Order: sequence, then structure tokens, then C-alpha cells
Amino acid sequence: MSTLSRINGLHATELSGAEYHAVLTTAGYEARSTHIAEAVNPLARIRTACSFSERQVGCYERNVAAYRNMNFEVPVIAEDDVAEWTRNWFQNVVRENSDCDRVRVCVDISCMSRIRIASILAALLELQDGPSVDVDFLYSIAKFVRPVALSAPNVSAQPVLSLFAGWNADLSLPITALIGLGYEPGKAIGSFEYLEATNVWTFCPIGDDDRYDRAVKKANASLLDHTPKKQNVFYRLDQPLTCFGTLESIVYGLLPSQRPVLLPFGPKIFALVAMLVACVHREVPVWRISSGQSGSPEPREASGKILGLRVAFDTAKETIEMTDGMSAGV
Amino acid sequence: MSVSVAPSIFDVFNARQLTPTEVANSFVPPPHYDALVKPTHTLIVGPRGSGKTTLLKMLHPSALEAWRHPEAPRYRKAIAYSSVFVATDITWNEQIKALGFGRLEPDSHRQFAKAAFTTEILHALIVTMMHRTGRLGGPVVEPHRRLAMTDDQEFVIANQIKTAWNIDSAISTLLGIRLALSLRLSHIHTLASKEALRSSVGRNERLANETFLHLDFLPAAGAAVEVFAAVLRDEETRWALLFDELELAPQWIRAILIKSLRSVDQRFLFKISISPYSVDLKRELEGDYSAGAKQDFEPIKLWYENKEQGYPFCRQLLNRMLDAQQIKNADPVDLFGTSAFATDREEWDNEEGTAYRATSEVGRLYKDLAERDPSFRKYLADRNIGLSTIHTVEGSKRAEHLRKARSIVTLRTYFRRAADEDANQKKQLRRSRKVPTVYGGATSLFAMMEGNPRWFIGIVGELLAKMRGKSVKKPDQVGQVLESADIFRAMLTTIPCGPIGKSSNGLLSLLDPIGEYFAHVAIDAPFDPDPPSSFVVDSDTDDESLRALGMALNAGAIVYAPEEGDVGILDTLVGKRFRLSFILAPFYHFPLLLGRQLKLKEIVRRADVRKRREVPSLFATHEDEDEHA
Repeated sequence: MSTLSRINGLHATELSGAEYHAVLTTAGYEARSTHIAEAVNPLARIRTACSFSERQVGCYERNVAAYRNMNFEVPVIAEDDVAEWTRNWFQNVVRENSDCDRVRVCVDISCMSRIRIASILAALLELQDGPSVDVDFLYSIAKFVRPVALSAPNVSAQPVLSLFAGWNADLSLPITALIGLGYEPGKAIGSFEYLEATNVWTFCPIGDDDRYDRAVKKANASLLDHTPKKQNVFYRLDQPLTCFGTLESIVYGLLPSQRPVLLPFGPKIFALVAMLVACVHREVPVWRISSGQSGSPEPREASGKILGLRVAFDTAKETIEMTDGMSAGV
Repeated sequence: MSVSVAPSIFDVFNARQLTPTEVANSFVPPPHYDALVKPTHTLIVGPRGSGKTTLLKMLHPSALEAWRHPEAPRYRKAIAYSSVFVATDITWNEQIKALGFGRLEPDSHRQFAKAAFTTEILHALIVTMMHRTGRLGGPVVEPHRRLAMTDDQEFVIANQIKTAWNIDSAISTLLGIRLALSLRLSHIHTLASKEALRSSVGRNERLANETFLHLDFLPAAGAAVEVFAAVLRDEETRWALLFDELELAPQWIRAILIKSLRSVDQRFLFKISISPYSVDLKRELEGDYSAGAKQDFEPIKLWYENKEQGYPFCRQLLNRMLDAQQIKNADPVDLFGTSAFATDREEWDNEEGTAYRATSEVGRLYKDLAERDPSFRKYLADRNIGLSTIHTVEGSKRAEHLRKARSIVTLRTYFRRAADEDANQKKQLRRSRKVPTVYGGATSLFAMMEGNPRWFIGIVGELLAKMRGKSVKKPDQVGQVLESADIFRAMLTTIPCGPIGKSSNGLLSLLDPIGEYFAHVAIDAPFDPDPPSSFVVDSDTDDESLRALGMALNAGAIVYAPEEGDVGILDTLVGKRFRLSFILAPFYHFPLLLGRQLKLKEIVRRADVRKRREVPSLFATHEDEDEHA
């Protein structure tokens, strides 16, 4: 299996017209689905906009047409099949570029489900032979949308993918939940209780729009009140690398005496960061608590801001490099 | 890294995360403990937080030795076996399920899962052996079944166990075996992960070569205890294997366990904890026994369908908590006040010998309601009861018509606005009560805790911590309960039950109409001294809803009121009687009573139109009839 060996931040200036061997994005119902493809126009021979078999509503038809016009292949993949499809997709990309030292892939996670993000990382970790892979994960921040009053019932409360179930067999250690906060009222504290965790760290996003920040605090007031202040961590949405460093440090510090469990609610960029931390610390589970396809489809538009992380997966390396020369142990 | 414990309402005390020694620090033996300690197979049945894990951990030698309590010496003497605690939790069970990343065929996955399960049991057995032989530290108030073991003896025992368990570790000590088993658990995961990436061709042969994958826990444990007993001359000792939350384990693991339960190996006892609703387990336990066959186990029920049953335990737990804060001789009524649903002792101390007098607090209460509630006036008139001469009402009549109605009278007086005398007045609005202090007071607080140690310690612990002076004000009490109820409801919405009919709120879609209806009939509807406050599940309830009700039961949101003599687990909810957990009472405003029952279908049908949320279609042929107002 390969390992995550390097992680860098990405600036918008590096993105425009960048060349890749493959691009993977999503044709979904959100208005921002095509934003990165249109704004950044990543160049690649293999261009795939993976769509969903359900919830083909909102801007879905428009997005599919737009991707086809940009010469993207648009396969329809059911959520149950996406892990295997993604694995095959990456194996194909690597195989087709096996003569390269490093394969470069661009992935737009903006409209991906957490399962799809997890499937991508799982596919990368499972690459065994051939060139190393550098992935630019891009994320288009959405404009604020008012929280929905009634949410759909949960259909799933389990690790996001089997590969992210973790493995920490010392059951004498207490569970610490590391929860990314979103603005769905009660979800974070309910999940904390469901897991019967003893300790909690909360991760509260800060963006450019105060309304989102206020909605998150309001939805999580009870949990924030009961969490020790030093365990309420704020992260900037536009600084995912810093977020990764912070989260990884906390997890590393907890491991000798706790069983950390990651619950990355809220912005998908935090979900990506959490799963990247779990790629480093394979014993740590990442959980998903979700209403699946029965939640309300939110018609999110792009705010215009794009951010990203560049992540390298190698078969040989054992330490992670970050941009400023720091290393994180594995 | 040091981490402050998050002072969560419910997880200030969660026995799952505490060592047995830590559990012992605050343990108060409930009535069930006596039944549990008997040297028999035992099934402990209770919802989340009811104390199952605590009770099992309190059988462990490390807990027994650390336990300071007046009753501790008696129990240490009574427990004539050595206990092996096999832990589990939701995350661990998901990790077992995920072995091989879902890519292994079922038989191969089962081999790995069984190996992990077996290794956990053997690891726990070694820990108990280490404890009995003084190889582990920990506080000791009084030793329990300790054995002296020389290094040479340990060497012999360890070598024999290594052979029996296929351990190659070079260190022939119990600690060495324990470490080897921890490594084995990692190895199981690594092996399964590698197999997931390999072709299945040749897999059976590859796995056949890994001999430790084929160990069965009972023979393996038997081999270990045999050599332990022989070397240390401890042949009389029996070993209790304690399995927590068995409903989390896969069905085939439960089947292995149940088969072991019926084995003839007298050295082992099994004590198993489980949630009340467990369809498969009940059927596995009963198997195909003919009628009249003796059961393998003794079941212990860890909940109280009537609130009074939980009071003694709550008092003991409170005393223990007060001792820890060095508050001596505090009466719960002094601390929390008298419940609005109870009568102050002083009220009975008078010439008439009754609290039911025109000028008494009770009398004024009834008068107040009579003034604001025409239906209550009619109720009294129909029974020829005059409030000015209430003290003359004959004893049995008073009991039947007045005392029985006390809770409902209290609730209605608290919540109802005065009725407009205008005959056209249709709406009866309740008073807005953000924190309904009517639910404050000692016995009400105890009732709402449901004898659930986790809730009690979490909530009352917070109240005592915030207490200023010698008592806790009722707004604070009920405010704390409401906050806890909110968190509990948030947890209920997390449970993945999927859609129920057209609902959007998971389990709450079932519970909300029930809670609101019970409040409606108690407060808003025409006066009824015994309104429905429990429900029976209809036979035509759809499977989705039955499954959801089962989850609600296991989570503690609904409480089973069994028929007499029925203390076992449920494999069906149909025809069974339930009430809502009293912790939800201040949220919905229903009475703290196990009152008259009504069919669930009828409750849903009558649910209040004005406050109706999406009502689930519970029944295969849902009749869309008009609502009663």
C-alpha cells in the first residue's frame, strides 16, 4: 500500500491552466458543481465528472451538459458502487501513465459526498505499484445558505468507509471524539452521546461570512458550553494546511492515552483534512452520520473562493513533509 | 497529552470508559447486584445507561479489592469465582465488521472476526490471572481470591499457555503473554488488510497456516485455567466470563457464545449484558427447547416501570455522592424540596388527620383547579364532592376520586389558563412555562432519573456541583433535566433508524406524537383522573416502526412495563406495554405516572391536529380519519 508522504497548501495562482494527467470532479445538483472546472480549467487527457444515480435535481441537468461541453466523461455511479469505481479509475489513470515518475491528478471535492472523498483516498492508499501520485484537492467555498429547519432522519452511523474504520484494540482507553461542527442543530452533541465518548474536541470553522459562523455556534451551543475552552479549536476554511497540522498534532498527542474518533461534520474541506489525518494515523476511525440521499438538496452557489491542498502518495516514504519543512511522524 | 474530561451531562460517569477500580470508587450496590453475584449464568437486561457495564465491572477482582463500602466485605466473600471482563463498544464492533475492508468472502471475514473476539477474551483472562497473582498494581482495601505464585510457577504456567494458544513470544510470563496477545490483535488486522488486497485464490490455504486463527475461546480458556489451577492448586475456582452489550456482536458470535453457555464445562460461568429488545438473541437463547425445559440463565431486569421502585437506589446513590462532597445527613427533601405531586408530611399532621382540607395546600390546589377548569367542577359535582367540606369525604372515596387524581390536578393547575366562561370558547391555551418547575422536588427528580445511574450521577452531580447554600432550587433542577433531555433527544435523532412513514425526524417522529398526546389528555382534554399514559403496540404495526420502537427501547426513551414474572428480553414488541421515559416529561409535559394504557394506533390517530408534525404511517393500512379535537 502507498502512504501519504507530503502535504502542501495550494494558492489560487498555481491553479489556472495547470496541467494534470487526470481530473476528477462531480456532476451534482449544486450550482457550484462546475465552478472549478470553469474557473481553473485544469488541463488533462482524462477528464471525468462522476455523477449520482439519485437526486438528479436542481442544477443537475445543466451541470451534466456543461461538463459534456467541456469534454468531460460523465458516468452515473450509485453511492454503493462508488468505492470500487473510484479504485478502478485511479488504477486506470496510473496504468495509462506508468511511464511517468509521478502522476498528477486534480480532484474537485466541492460537491462530493464524504463517501466519495473517502473512496478517493482509499483508492490512493491501495495503489501498490507504479508511479507515485500527486493529487491537488480543490474546494470551492459555497455562499451561505440558511440552515434547514427539519433535517432528514439518519440512515447511517458508522465509519465512512471500511478502510477508515481504524483499529485500536485497547478498549481500556477512553474514546475522544474530535468533531467538526456544522450548522445542523444537535447533530454533533447527539453523535458524541451516541458514541458514548468520554472526551471531546470541537473544530469550529471560520469563513468570510459571519452568518455561517454564527449559525454553527448557535446549532452547537450546548456542546460548546460543555467542552473545555482549550478543546474548542477554530480553524480558517481558507487555511486547510494549518487545519491539517493542528488536527494531526492533536490526534498524535491523544493516541497514547485515548482512542480518538473523527467525526468531520461541517465543510467538506474539514472532512478531507480529517481523512488525510486518518491516512497518517491508520488506527483512527473516521465516522459518518448521515441521512444519506434523503436529506434536503441544498442549491449551493460558489462564493468565488477556491482553495486546495496538494498531497503526495508514495510507496517508499515513512514521514510526511509539510510546506514549511516540518515533518509529521507516522 | 493531558485532556480535560468534557463535563458532558451524561458522560461524567460512563462506566464503559472507566477501569474497574475507578468504577468501584463510587459504586452503590443496587438491588440487582445480589442476584448478579450468584454463581449462575446470568443475563442482565437493561437500556443504555442503566448500569449493565458498571455491574459487570464490579465483579472484576480489581474492583472488588478497591471497593470501600459497608457491604463490600460481604460481597467479596459471596463472590466465589474469578471474573474476566470482556469489553466492547460501538466503535470496536464497527472495526471488527470492517476487517478486510468488506472485500473478504463471509467465511474468511468470520475467521478474522472470530480470532479478534477470541484474542480479546484470552487477553481479558490473562489480565484476571495477573491480578489474582499480584502481577498488576492497583488499590487494595481487601484482597479477593489472591494466589501466591513464584517466578518458577509463572514460567511453567506461561509456557503451557503459550503452547495452547500458539504464542511464539520468547517471554514466559503472564505479562509476556498479554503483550503477545495485544500484538496478535494488530497482526489480525494487518493480515486481514493484506488478504483484502490479494486474490482469493489460495486464501484458504494461507489462512489455514495461521494456526492462531483457528483457536476456539472456550477450549483455549479451559486449557489455560487448567494449568493455572493445577500449578497453583486452585482447582475449586470457577471463572465467570463477563460479556458486555452482546447485542453489538454479530449474530454468529452470539451463537458461539450461547452454544458455549450450554457446554458441560463447569469451570465457566457466563454473565452477559444486553439491551431489552433483541430479537435474534431471545430466539437463540430459547432455541428449540421444549416447554418446561429449565432455562440456562437467570435474567435480571435493570429498569423500573413504576417510579417508586427506583427511589431506594436513588437515595443510596445520592448519599454516596454527598459523602464524596462531605455533605453529611442531608435529606433529599431538604436538598431538592418536596415534589409538587407529593404532599408535605406536615400537611397530614392536624386535627382532621388528613391533608385534604379546604384550607390545606392540597385543598387550595383543588379549589384553584375547580375555579379554572369547568370539566373538573363537573367531575367533583358528579361525585358529590364539595371542596369546602373536602375533609369529610370518606376514606376510600377520597382515595379513589381525589388522591388518585392528585398528579393530574397538579399538572392541570400548573399549565392551564383559566377558562373563559364564554360557552363559545373552544381553545384552551396552556401557560407558557419555559422551565416547568412543577417537575422539581426530590421524588420527581428521582423519578425522572429512572434509576439510571448514568443519568443520576450526571445530572444530580451537576446540580450538587453548582449548589449554593444547602438546597438546589427547582428551576435549576428542572433546567438541568431539560438540558439533559435535549441532549438525549439529540442522541435519539442520531440513531440510524431511517425514514418512518413520511417522517423527517427519526425516532422522535414516533415519540413526539405519543408525548404530546399524553400531555394533551392530562392537561387540555376534559378532566380525567386516570388519563392514558402508557401504550400497547398493535399487531399491525409496520416493520419500520417496530424496529424504531425497539431502538427507542434500547436507548431508554421508552420503558417496558412487563407482565408479572416477565423479566427476560423481548423478541417482539407487539402486545407489550410501554411508557415514555420520565426524563422526557418536562419536555412534553406528561405526568410522571404509569397510567392507563391505550393502543398506539389509537394514540397516533388522536394526535392533536394543531400540534401535529408529520405523523408516520405506522400501519399497513393507515386509516385517514378525522382527528378528535
